[in-house]
Amino acid sequence: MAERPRLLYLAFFFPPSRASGVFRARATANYFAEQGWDVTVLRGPDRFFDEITGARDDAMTATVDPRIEVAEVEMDYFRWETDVRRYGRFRGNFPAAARNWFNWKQDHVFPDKYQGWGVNALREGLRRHRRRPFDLIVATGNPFASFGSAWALSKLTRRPFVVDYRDAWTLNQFENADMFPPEHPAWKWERRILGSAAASLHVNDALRGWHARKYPEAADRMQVVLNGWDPDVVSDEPPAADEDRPLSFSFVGTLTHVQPIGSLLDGYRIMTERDAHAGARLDFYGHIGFFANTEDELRAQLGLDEEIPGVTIRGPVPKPAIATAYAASDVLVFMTGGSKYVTTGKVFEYMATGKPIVSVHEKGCAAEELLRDYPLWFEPESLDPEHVAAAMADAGDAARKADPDTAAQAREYAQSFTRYAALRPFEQWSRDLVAKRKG
Amino acid sequence: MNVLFVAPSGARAKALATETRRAADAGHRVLLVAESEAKLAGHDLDGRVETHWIGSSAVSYTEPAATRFFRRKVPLGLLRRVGRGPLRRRARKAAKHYRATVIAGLDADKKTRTQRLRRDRRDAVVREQVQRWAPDWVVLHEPLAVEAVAGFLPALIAERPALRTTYAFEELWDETDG
Repeated sequence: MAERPRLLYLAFFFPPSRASGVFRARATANYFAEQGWDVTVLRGPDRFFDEITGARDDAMTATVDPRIEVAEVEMDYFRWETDVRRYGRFRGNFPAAARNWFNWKQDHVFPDKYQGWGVNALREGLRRHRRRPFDLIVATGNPFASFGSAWALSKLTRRPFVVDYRDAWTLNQFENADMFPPEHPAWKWERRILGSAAASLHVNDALRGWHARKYPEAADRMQVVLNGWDPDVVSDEPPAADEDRPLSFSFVGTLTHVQPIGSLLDGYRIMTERDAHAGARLDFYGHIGFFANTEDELRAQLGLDEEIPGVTIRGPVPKPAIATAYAASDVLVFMTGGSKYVTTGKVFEYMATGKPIVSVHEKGCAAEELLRDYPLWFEPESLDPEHVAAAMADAGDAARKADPDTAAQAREYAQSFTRYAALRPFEQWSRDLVAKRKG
Repeated sequence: MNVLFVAPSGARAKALATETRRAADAGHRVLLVAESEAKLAGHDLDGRVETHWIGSSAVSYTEPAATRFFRRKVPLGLLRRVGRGPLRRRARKAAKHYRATVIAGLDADKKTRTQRLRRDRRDAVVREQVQRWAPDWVVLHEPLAVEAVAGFLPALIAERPALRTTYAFEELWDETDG
């Protein structure tokens, strides 16, 4: 029997973490394992998921293929330690010197606060490679320290490596601006990494294009691997139509100040005032802002601090339970900051439900490319509340009509966007790369 | 977030002014507990920073009048009087010895008691401000700050595990990671 190709996968956010980026990492590891790879994952430490992010879900671990070897790699908590009693001797006695040392390492070793994890992952990867060599190294970021580790591992082991950009590193995707000043070491490192990586993966073509323009020498090695949706998270069962209950328009995701929520609320108000869909509700599922401590402020900024008739803030829903939120919705509101670099993973889930989707964002958003062929997509002419109201009413009509053929077409279209479908070409490419190397 | 800077002596005043401004810029409500305004003069403290001055230098130990009279004034006065006669040299020598032993001892005792009073006042004020302010983040900006909070902070952290304590206001983790 031919020996299985061995993959070392550096994924800090991996189950039991339930961070948003975990789903892509989990799908990658599972898919490679299913395709016959011997997969080893180096992930972040439990303490980080338990105490720092507080986003741990042991049920997620059960969804990882048992053939995958998952190793927890320790890290230093310099940027996250919020109790002086837990500082080490050096930091406890010489805090300024410890900070200078940390900053020096950021400037001269690797510019990422997860650097400590990256160094340990490098050490662990090397140790395992000496015992049984790997054939391919894949690193997913953030954190981008994993890219640095993959680069160093590749240099030391002479094995090819691939970097998977779940997010851009040096581009602020929402502002369409550089993330760092020109002299920042991240630029030097990104050029160095992309210069030697066998491939880099990007979540949409706009991001691939941005990186290709920035690093033309690596452009021919850049691939797009879309995010896709997870069949175990979102059910693609046909929705049950209920003519009697009032329609529910739902937004699922994190609300931030970059989203045109004013247009949505005004559009919703206009639609209901016109009796287009009497009693229709507008539900928000998800966090308000990324920081718990700024939630109240942001809530006020968004105009959600006072009760609005028909509008309900339903709060965050754990991703594994998101299917219940979709089941309770009739029309899904796709609202985003609208950058051409932002696809958002949500759009795949939205499509997988086979329900009408109404867009509320500026023209030119990367997700439009995907939604264009979705038969139940409703796009307002502009963000003018009148136009939004009209699109919402049309989407509501489509939900009421619940044409089974159109819904089936919508779900069929979404079938081409599962995570595995997105990963298939990359896995084949990886297999070919390893086979070619082995001669 | 309520950020409380504890800097009893006001040492590292420049860093204090910079960090409090950064905390205010980051949208936090900032309170500074420090010895006195004079210690931070010339460092342009941000107007958004609320301040509470400890003013412990105004406190000093007052010696009992009897001690001052019978142990300081009377013996030295007597020796001065004796020194006007033929025992001038011996009296001067005795006075010198008395100053080096008894008076120096009294001074040292006075200094120790003053320091204790000032420390008690500092600790009481810091404790009072921590209770009043209910901070989400306590920045222990200098070693004296650690001394000032050592008596009650561990219990407070046990009561409120989300309370942050650091030695500087610095960038912490970013919730958008993941």
